[in-house]
Amino acid sequence: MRSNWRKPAARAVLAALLFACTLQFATAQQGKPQPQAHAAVGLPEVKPETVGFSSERLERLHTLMHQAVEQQQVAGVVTILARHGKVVDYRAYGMRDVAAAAPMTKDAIFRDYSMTKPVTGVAMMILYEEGKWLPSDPIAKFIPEFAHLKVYKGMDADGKMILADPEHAPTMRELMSHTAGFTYGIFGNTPVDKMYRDVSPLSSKDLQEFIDKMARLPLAYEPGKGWTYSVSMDIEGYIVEKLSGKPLAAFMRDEIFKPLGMKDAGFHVPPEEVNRFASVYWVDPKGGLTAKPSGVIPAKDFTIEPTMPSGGGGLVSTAEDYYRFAQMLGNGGVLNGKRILAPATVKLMGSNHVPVELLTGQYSIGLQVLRPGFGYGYNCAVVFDPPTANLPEGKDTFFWDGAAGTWFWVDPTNDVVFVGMIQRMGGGPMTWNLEYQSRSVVYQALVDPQK
Amino acid sequence: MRIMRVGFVVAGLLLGRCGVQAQTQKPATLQPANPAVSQAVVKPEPVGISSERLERLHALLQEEVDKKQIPGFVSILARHGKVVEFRSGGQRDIASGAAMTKDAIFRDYSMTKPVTGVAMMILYEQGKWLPSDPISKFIPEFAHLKVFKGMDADGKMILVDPDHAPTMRELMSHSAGFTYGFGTTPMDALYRDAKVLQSQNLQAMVDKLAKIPLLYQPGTQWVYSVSMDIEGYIVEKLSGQTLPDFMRDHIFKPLGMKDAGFYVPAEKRGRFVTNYRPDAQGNLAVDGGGSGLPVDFTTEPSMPSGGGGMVSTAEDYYRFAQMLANGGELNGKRILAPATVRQMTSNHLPPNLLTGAYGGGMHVMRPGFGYGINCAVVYDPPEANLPDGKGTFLWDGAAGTWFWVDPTNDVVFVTMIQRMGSPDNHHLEYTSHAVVYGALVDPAK
Repeated sequence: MRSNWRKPAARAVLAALLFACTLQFATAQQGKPQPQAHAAVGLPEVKPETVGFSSERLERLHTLMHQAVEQQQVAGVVTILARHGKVVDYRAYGMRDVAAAAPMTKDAIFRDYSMTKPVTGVAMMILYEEGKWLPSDPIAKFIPEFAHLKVYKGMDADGKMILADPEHAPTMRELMSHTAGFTYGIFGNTPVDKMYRDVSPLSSKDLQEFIDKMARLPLAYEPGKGWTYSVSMDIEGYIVEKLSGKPLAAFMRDEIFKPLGMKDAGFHVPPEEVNRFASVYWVDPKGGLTAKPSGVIPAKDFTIEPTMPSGGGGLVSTAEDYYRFAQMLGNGGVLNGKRILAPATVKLMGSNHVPVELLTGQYSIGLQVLRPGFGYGYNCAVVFDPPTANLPEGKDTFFWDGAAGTWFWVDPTNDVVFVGMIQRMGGGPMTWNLEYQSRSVVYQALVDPQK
Repeated sequence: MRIMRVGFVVAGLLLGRCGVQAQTQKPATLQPANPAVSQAVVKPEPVGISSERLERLHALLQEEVDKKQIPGFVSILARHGKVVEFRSGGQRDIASGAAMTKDAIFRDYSMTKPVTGVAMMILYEQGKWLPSDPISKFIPEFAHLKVFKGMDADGKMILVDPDHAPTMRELMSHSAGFTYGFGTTPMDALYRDAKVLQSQNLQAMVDKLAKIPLLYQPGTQWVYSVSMDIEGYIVEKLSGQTLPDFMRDHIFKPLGMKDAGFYVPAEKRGRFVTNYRPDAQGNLAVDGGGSGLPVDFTTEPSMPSGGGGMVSTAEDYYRFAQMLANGGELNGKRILAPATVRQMTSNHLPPNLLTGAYGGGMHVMRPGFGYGINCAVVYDPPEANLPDGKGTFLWDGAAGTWFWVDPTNDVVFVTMIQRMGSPDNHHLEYTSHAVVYGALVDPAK
């Protein structure tokens, strides 16, 4: 089926099918005034008006998502919106798998990709609260393999790399805020990025091999003197294992997933749950979506347990799982009586840690541009001055997204949490930016923030 | 920084820090601490702290003892003026096997500085000085201080007049131009040659300092220094009392700091903790001195050091710190007004000195982390990468004692150890911040 799907003729048929199914599903949705029941998830649910939202205006969120499906911007969506810890909107739209004509369901499992980073951040902050590390510690304190990292300084006349010792040893604070000097390899085209592509650290068989490869790669810039989206959170995953004595997956399971009731969160989808695993699609340059992989991010099989768990991008989860995680952060570190972090620690994680002189617009990843008012904390972006950043949310909103288009935010000022799950790789400026569109639509519906 | 980096290990040993503003305090609603602090320990939960998570603080300190990194400790944690944690562990003296006790007496070293700061602020409230006053208004010997500008071709010091006479504000914030004598600059060498800190008395110290140039133009750097020893001299001059007598009458007695002073009298010697220092192998050895700091605390010193001369119990220092947290009073004894405490514990360094270029040990002056009057101030905690509440002020001592006061969360913390010369002291100090705030699960309480 998958191979047929890649043939143009089959694709045309399926596109028609997709459109028909979408219409049918959308019609079915619109026929029901109430969102699908979700008693099973045990999330408190209230009418939007009780927490300051306008139901009428919130229809614009539904319209946006319906249109995204209808216009084949995405195959399917699940969104959760909550305020004051109460879910006011929880819906599924479109298809979980287009070819199979399977509608999207609330219990669908998604590839979180970089939305793994905040979870790894929380794992790190749990260890911070246990006194295991400080932001000022050099990374090499925990990874002696990094004791002799060099810094790339350009090329000499013979085309050889000029390498120098760093002015200071990169610190944990820098690691947690993408300012240590690491890069990703796949997004940039510097000589250091090329070295990453040759060595392929993220394709290592385990985290130790990954670290050994990283130890041989130079830093792309002086620690603290730049911001580059990077494998830093994969390095953190290694540190979590080293400081806790547990595999990353087991640490997250015991300290985060189980206490929070994130039933389907993990580093792979086990066989018995594969039927709930949403299919992933790529933006088709000719329009619409395709199941044929493209772009710089390699397709990955999430149905087998990885030998190298990726703290930067390895998680899968349902929308509800991630909502529970985000609501824990929205609550200052606790959900349903399960305390994961203290409020001060959440605040520290969700505060900008990038020097303001770097917030000039010159550093970005995709549509996330670091700029005045918009910085980066530990493993998440932070809007510390929303009007300056041209955004409608409350001060100190923190958030991130994933390569397959999933997104979330936590707004501590308005006590709003939002999670949106799609599975579309390769979205860019020319595709619908559901992440920021949803922000506009949600805040125009928050008509009584005093409530 | 070039200066402090070199003197860093030593200076880091020296001392303490302090903190910030008291704007969010609610002194009227605070319960006075029980006069016998040890009797007043309450459960952590009613003041928002998790007992379970507080176990990590015990584990942190006990692990240091178990690994023989410190011989022993006494720690006190309070919120809303209620002590939720008062505990001792390890040994007061390794050789004799004597257990650490809550009434043990410690060398405070640079934790003396905030106390001298309060002494100065008492005199400030009496209208005796203003931050804008030149220091030489009170110390005419300093009327002709020169500023070091480098060496000439013949290896002679180039000296110039200061751009402005160093002020009391600069004196109180380590930015007047003085140094300590632990660094590698020619000025530090002059301090060492003159044995500034080993002077016979405060007048002799001032006379020596009058002949040594300032290390930098007043107000242009932050360098840890003998400034608080100079303040001790000013306290004597403005009050007409000796520094120890002034502190006794105006601070120690009103606050019930029974064992605070500048030496340990014979009848209390049995409670005096032995001071240790890591040897070359990292094992604890009895401190043999040589740091340039006061070593003999068995007799009343002829030169009381406002920068590092005090001894006290953990409870004594807690009473002092809680007084500051309460906006200047404890158990009905008013030492300072709230506005004065706030002024003392607000950042007084200009932003151009908060760039990471100055500091000592892990106390790096940086955005969010500045220096007030005789104490450091965390005026923007997230920016400073710290979990504390806004306005937290703090300092520590060369033998590893440390404290902080968090006016936003109304938290006071004091821990006493006696380990000289260890770079691990600052690390333990900051780790305790992470652990304590990890236990403050309900700050609204």
